[in-house]
Amino acid sequence: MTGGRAIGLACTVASILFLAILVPGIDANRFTGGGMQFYSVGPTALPYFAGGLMLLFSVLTLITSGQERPKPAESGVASASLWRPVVFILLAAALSGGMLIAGFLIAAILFLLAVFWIYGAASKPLALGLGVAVPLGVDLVLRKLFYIPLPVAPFLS
Amino acid sequence: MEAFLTALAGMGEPATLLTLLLSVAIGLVIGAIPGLTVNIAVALAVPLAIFMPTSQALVMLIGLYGAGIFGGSISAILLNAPGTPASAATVFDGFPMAQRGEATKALRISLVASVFGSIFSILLLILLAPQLADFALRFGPVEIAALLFFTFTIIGVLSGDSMVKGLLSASIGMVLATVGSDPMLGTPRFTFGLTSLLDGLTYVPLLVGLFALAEIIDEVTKGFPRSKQRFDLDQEDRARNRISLPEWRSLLLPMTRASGIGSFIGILPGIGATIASFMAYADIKRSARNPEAFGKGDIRGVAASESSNNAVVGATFIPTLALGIPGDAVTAILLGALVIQGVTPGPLIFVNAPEVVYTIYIVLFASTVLMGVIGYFAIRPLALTLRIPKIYLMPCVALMCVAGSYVARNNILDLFVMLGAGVLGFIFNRTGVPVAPLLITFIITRPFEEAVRQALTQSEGSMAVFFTNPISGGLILFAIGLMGFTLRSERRRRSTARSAPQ
Amino acid sequence: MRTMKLGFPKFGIVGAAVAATLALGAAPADAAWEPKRPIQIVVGFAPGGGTDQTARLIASAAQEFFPVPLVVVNRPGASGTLAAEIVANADPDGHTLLVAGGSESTSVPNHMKTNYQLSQFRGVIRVNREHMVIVTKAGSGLDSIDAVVKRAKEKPGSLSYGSSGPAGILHSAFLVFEKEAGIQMKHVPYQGGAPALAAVLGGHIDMAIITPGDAQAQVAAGKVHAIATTSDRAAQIPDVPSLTDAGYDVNIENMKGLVAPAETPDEAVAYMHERFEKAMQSEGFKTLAAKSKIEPGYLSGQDFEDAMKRMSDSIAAAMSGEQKAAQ
Repeated sequence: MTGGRAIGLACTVASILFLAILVPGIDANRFTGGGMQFYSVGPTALPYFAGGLMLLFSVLTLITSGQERPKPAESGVASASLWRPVVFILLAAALSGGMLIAGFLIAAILFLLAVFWIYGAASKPLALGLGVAVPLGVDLVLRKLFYIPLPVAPFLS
Repeated sequence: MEAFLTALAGMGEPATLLTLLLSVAIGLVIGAIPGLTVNIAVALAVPLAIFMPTSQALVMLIGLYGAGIFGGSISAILLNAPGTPASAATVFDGFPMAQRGEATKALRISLVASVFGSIFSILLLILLAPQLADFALRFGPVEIAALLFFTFTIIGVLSGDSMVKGLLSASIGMVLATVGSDPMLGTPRFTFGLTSLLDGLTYVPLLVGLFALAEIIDEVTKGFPRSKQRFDLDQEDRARNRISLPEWRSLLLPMTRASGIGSFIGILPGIGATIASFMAYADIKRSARNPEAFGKGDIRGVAASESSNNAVVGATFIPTLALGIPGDAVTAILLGALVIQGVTPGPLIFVNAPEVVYTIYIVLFASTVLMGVIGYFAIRPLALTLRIPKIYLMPCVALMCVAGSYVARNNILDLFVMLGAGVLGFIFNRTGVPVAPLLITFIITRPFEEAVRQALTQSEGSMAVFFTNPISGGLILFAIGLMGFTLRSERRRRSTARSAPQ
Repeated sequence: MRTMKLGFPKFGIVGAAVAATLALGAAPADAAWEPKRPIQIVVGFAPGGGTDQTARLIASAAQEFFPVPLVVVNRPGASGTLAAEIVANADPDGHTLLVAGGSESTSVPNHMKTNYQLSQFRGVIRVNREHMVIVTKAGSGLDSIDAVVKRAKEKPGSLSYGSSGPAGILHSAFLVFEKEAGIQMKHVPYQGGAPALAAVLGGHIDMAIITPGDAQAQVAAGKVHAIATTSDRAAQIPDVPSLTDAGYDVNIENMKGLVAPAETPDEAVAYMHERFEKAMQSEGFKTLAAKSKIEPGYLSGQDFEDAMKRMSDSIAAAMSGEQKAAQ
C-alpha cells in the first residue's frame, strides 16, 4: 500500500466518524440564549460542508493514488526505523506536559540532554553546554526582557 | 510644513534614534523566533511607551512592527519554520533555495522585497489615504465573503503535484477551522467542554507544528544526517549567492504586483498579512510563464510573499489614520498607545495633530531603511546558522517552538496542538500531501463563515445578495472561471506527463 | 500566629494546613495577612488591549505598596472566560487576582454555560468604569434614540446592530435596550468593536457601541451620531443623553476592577484593597489614567460586587424574555 492510499483510507474513516458522531453532537450542547435566530446557515452547516468535502477528497485520494509512481522519499521511509520519530515525539510531549510540573527550565534541560544522548551527539561537552545554556538563555530572555512568564517549578517559586 | 519640520526635529533626538535602532533589532529577533509574533512584541512594548515622548513611542512601536514582519522570513528561509504566520508563503521557495546553498541570496531577496513592499505602501498611505479608506469602507460582509471565496482558488496553485491531495489537505484545514465557538451564536463546536478550545485551534501553534516541527521530525527520522551541502564562505559560494541584474529586473514586476495585492488586503479589516502573502504568491505563480519552477526555489516566490506582507504594514495605517479604525491587531495597539500620548486618533488627526501623522510617515520610512541596513549586515552571519550540525541545531529549534507556542497565549493546550500539527505535517510530507492548502483554508474559513453569515443576517437569509452585488458577483464569477481553468490545465499537464516515457 | 476568621464554610482543615505551612517561615506572631509569593493579576485578554492597560496601570502604581512583585499574566481566550475560569478555581490564598467587571463577569455567563459563576468571585476594588455610547452613521436619519425606536416599531426587525461578538457586553447592552424599548433588531456580531464601527461607517449595519473617546473623535469629524450612552451621562461627551434620561431603564457599562476567588480570606482582601486604593489615589496613577483616557471609578470590593450583580441580573432579565420569545 502506498502512502497516498494509507492517508486516503485514514482520512475517509476520520471524516465518516466526524460526520456521523461529532457533527450531530453539536446541537445537543447548544446553549440557550438571546439572539437565537439565524438565517439559512446555522452552526452545523459549515461542519457538514467541510466534513463532506473531506470525505469526498479522501475517497478520491484512495482511488487515484494507486496510479502514481511511488516517490523516492516514500521508499526511503520503509528502511528508516520508526523508533526515531516516535521517541522524539514522546520526548516533546513529555517536555510540554512536564513544563507544568517541573517548570520550563528543568523540563527543557532534561529534554535537550535526552535528545542529544539518544540520537548520539558527537561531542559530549558541547551537548552538555548547549543543553544547559539554551534553556537558560530562552528562559532569561523571555522572563526578564519580555516579562513573559514561562511556567516555574512550584518548588522553586 | 511647520508640522513636518517639528516631526523631523523630534526624530533627530539621539534618544529617538537609539530607540529606533534597538526596536528594529529586537523586532528582527522576535520575528525570527517561531511562535513569538509581532503582536506580542508590540503589545509588550506598550507599557514602556507610556513613559516616552510621542515620537519616541511611535518609533519604538512602528520599528518593532515592520522589522518583526521581515524577521519572520529569516527562520522561514533558514529553518523551514516561518517566524510569523505572515512569512508562511516565503517557505515554499525560500527553504529550497537555502537547501541548495543559496540561503544568503534568498535572505537578500527577502530583504529587498520587504523594503520595496514597505515603501510602496507607505507612499500609498501618504498620497491616497482618505480615498483608499473610503473605498475600504464599501467592503461589507458580502464583498468580504466574495473576496475570501476567491481566495480559495489559491488552493489549486498551492497543490503541487496532485490536485486531489491538495484538495484533501484543504478540506482537512476547513474541518480543523470548525473547532471553536461559531461566529454568530457562540455555539461551541467540538470543544469537548474545554474553554481553551472556544476560540478554536490557534494558528500560531498550528503553523509552527506543520512547518517547523514537521521538518524537525523529518530530520530526526533520518537520524540528523550531516548536511551534504557545503556552506563555506569560499568563492564559489559567494558567486552562487550573487544576484544578477537580469534577476533583479525579473523581480520588479512581481514585487510591484505583490505590493499592490498586499496594500489592497491591508486596507480591508480583518484579513491580514498571511492571506496577502499567499494571494500574492499564487498570483505570481499563476501569471508566470514557467509555474513549475515555483516551490523548488524560485526567487520570484520569495520576493512576492515578502513584498506583499510588508506592504500590508503600511496599508493597515490607512484606515487607522484616516478613519480612526485600526486595520489589524497591531495597529489597534498602536492606536491605544497614541491615546496614551494624548493624541485622539480619528478622522480629524490630520487637522488636530499633523505632527503626529508626519512622525508616523517619517518613522515608517526610517525604520524601513534601517531594517534594510541592519538586515544587510546580518544576513551573512545568519546564513551561517546552517553550518551548525543538525543534531545540535534541531533540538534547540524544537525547544524554541515549544516556548514560542506556549507564550503566544500562555496555554498548555497550544503545545499539544503544535505537537499534533507536527505529526500531521510529518505524515503529510511522507505521503505527498501538500501542507500549504491546509494552512490557507484553515486561515480563510473562519472569516469566510463569519462574513457569509453576517451577510445572510442582513439579507434575512436570501443568498441572492452575493450575486446581485457587482463586486461580489464579479469576484465569484472570476473565481469559478479560474477554478475551471486550473482544473483543465492540470488535466492536460497530467495527461502529457503520463504519455511521456518514464 | 496569624489571626484568621474561621467563618468561611469551605476554608477548612486544608486551608488551615496551607496557612500553617506558609506561616512556618513567616515572621512575627502578630503579623496580619501578608503575601508570601508574587501576586498574579490575571488578564483575560491579549496584551495591549484596554483590559490589559488597566491591569498594567494599576499594577505599576500599586507595586510600591506591596512587598512582593505584582505580575500581570495574560490568559486570553473565549472573551475573557478562560481567565475567569482559571481564577475561579485557583487557590483562594490571596495570591491570584482577576481583572473582571466586563463581558466575562456580567454578560457571558447569562448567555451560555460557563465553568464558573459570578458568585465564585469576591470584589477587591473597582478601578475604572467605561461608558458605552450607541452610534449611528451621520446622515442616516437615525439621529436620536426616539428616531431609532420609531423606525424599529414601524418596521420590526429592519434595523441591525453590530457587536464585538456573541454574548459579549455590547451584545447584552443592545438586548437590554431592545427589551426596555419593546423593539426587535437584528444582531450582527463582529470580531471586536472596531470592525463593527467600520461597518456602521460603511453603511452595512445601522448602529454599534463605542467608547466615549472614540465617539468624541468621530462626532467631531461628522462621521457618526452619538445617540445615547447605555448608563448615565459620560463626562467626556456631556451633551449625549443617557438611555435612562430617555426613559429606558438600561444601566450597562464596561467596568474593570480586581476580584479574587470567593473563598479568599477577609484579611487578604482587606490587605490588598487598602494598598490598591492607596495606589489609585497616587498622583502617578491619576496622571497616567488621565493620559490613557481611563476613567477612574473607585468602588469598594463589596460595592463592586453588587454593581456587577445588578448588571448581570438586568441582562438575565432581558435574556429570559428573549428565551420565552424563542420557544
